[in-house]
Amino acid sequence: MNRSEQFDQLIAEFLDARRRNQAPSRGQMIARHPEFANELNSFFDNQAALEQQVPMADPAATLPPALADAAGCDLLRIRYFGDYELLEEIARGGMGVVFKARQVSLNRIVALKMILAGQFASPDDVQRFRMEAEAAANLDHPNILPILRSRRTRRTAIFLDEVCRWRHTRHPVRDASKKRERSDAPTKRR
Amino acid sequence: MTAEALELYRPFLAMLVRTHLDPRLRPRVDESGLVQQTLLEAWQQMPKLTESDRPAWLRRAMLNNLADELRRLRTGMRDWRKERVLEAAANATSARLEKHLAANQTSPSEKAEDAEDELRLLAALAALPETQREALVLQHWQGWSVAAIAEHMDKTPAAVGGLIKRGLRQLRASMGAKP
Repeated sequence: MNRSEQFDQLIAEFLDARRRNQAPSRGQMIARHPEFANELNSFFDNQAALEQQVPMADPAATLPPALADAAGCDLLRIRYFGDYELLEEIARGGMGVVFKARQVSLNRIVALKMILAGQFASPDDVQRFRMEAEAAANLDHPNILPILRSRRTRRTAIFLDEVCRWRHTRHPVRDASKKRERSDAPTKRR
Repeated sequence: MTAEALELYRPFLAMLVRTHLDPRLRPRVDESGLVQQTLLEAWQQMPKLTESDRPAWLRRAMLNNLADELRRLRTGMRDWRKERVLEAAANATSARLEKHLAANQTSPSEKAEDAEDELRLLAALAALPETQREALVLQHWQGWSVAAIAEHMDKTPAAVGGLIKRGLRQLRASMGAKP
């Protein structure tokens, strides 16, 4: 590897460390690699110029290919989530994914809503998700499914959105979600 | 504003779409069609738009049209189990775009200024050699890891590091050259 390739490799490693919020500072980088002091200084200057105008994309809102594969296979990979057996995916949005699930201990069908970004969710995402859960829990309307419980696990920021009225309909999950979509009630929630 | 004046924004809008769209979704999204649609809407709105409002208006209309297109794409994908990767990419792009649109609720004058700056930046980005632009867009705008970019572009991580380094250098040089 020649000198230029060594430096490019260094940049590649730095960019990935930065993506994980584990990047050394400019000073630390130069102290560690004094032979590249000039190159590093101009790299950091160039990067700062772009950063000033467009901040680097937040990896929390991004799914790189490997993670995208994992997220795409949620249902295949994870059959159980705590007390819940995942049965099928009902819907998926930008923020979260809703599964039809069975609460094993009580043997009842519930809807389980999870934050899509999981452990990569930013505190803002988690806060938004929590606010949605709290707001929805306070609503009482025949076309709005009641929230029974929400919680956050230690490893992943996940909230549960449970529903119990479905057992009264023939195709519980689909009917409930359609009914909700058709409703023109002012309290309809998104 | 004439149709020719509006036409000048076409490359800017194309690059705007490029920076916001996950490259794996490109085959599914009619990028030039969306740009065309946005320019058409701008043409219809023209009497209401002052010259300084134009970039900000076009920018927002373009991103809204892209967000709509992604929503349609995601609805169509819901049952295609084989397309999970693309679906996840569409979801992530959508989420980021919605967040971006929601965050950009600044004052009109600020908005106009920002849009002007972004226009210049995207023009500089468009002038980069293809591979530098691709690596830089994936790293900086799309938030991919170098390893993921290397795989996508069939290059070594060091080569991608080099492309990004050179891209950043040239971007700054051309931004500085046009104050």
